[in-house]
Amino acid sequence: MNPAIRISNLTKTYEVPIREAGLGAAIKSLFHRETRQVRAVNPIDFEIAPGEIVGFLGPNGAGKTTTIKMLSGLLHPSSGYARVLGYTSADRHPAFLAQITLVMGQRNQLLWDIPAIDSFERNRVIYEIDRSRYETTLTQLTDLLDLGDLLHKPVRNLSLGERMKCEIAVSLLHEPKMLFLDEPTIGLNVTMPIWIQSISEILPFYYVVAFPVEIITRKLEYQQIIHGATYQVLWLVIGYSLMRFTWNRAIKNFSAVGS
Amino acid sequence: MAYRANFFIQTIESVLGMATALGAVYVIFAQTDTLAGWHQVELISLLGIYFVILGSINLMISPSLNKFMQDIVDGKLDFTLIKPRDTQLLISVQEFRVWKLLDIIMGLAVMTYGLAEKTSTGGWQDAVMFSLALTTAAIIIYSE
Repeated sequence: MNPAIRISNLTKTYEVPIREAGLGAAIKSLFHRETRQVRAVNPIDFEIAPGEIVGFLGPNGAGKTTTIKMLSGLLHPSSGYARVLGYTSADRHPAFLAQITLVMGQRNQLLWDIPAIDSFERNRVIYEIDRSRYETTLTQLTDLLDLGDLLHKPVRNLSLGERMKCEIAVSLLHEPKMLFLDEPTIGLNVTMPIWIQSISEILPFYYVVAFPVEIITRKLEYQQIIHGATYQVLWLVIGYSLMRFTWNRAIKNFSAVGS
Repeated sequence: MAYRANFFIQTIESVLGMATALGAVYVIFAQTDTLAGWHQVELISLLGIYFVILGSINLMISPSLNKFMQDIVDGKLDFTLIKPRDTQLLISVQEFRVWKLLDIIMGLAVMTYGLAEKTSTGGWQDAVMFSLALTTAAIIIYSE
């Protein structure tokens, strides 16, 4: 069976401008800019088989978000390639983009000043979702995530947790096959993993989740995701190659880091 | 349309803007019959065209471009890039200020009045060329 994700020698290097503090340095940088190469992602190789649930676990700056962005086609790798669901991510083929989705804990795609349901309708049009299919999916997500009246309130009036629930719902409306979650635990309580698990039983998808390293101390609720599936934790460390662990082994080896 | 008061204030502002512009034209032409070769009705027609074009730009293109720049700063452009549709089109139509329709409507009304009052109006060929020039200008602005 073909892997759901295959990464080969994937790296990402940024050229970052640097300067000293002060007005003089700011003016000087207008005419003579100094830059520094930053290796955001060291060469990594791995495959994820269909059915595997993958978490990227690492400290700040480890390259979790950069790797997820390369997997979703938002960034071009400096070298190597990423193939997701049989597509090369960097090609950004529309058929590939229609099968993936992204949820970022720090940012939201919902339109701020209008009810969430309007953002849902916008996505329905963009992804060309059939009306009856949209209504069915929306009803399922509303029940699973307990959205209720939240959909008809302006997003700015929702709490952080309510907004995240709506974010997850809007990202799944087009029934993607691959869900990328970048630190989605912000604002959500411990039942979030249960929601993801419940939704995946109705709208089957693969998912790749980037966690901050502190999550490792909250293993109990995240173990609920792995019910019936293989859960592999990929630990990215700055300057080192990717290490692959099972969840329990990661807890055993690295719990001191997260505490 | 998040705040109803905002909508009504913007509407009043549009009406006042048109009234001020027309008032300035009438004040000038109370003192003279022509201004650099332009007659009053010709300037009124030009004013109407200006409001139509400005209203069209401020209806969708300008607010969408402002949101695009803010999305880059906030890191939200990723959500647009990940959609399976043309990114430029999505960026162009992501924000819509409905009250600017009033500018377009008032502009069309003033333009129509000015052209109707003009003693020597052009034929249908002039109207076609005018529409073609306007459409071409819009395409050039959008493509840039």
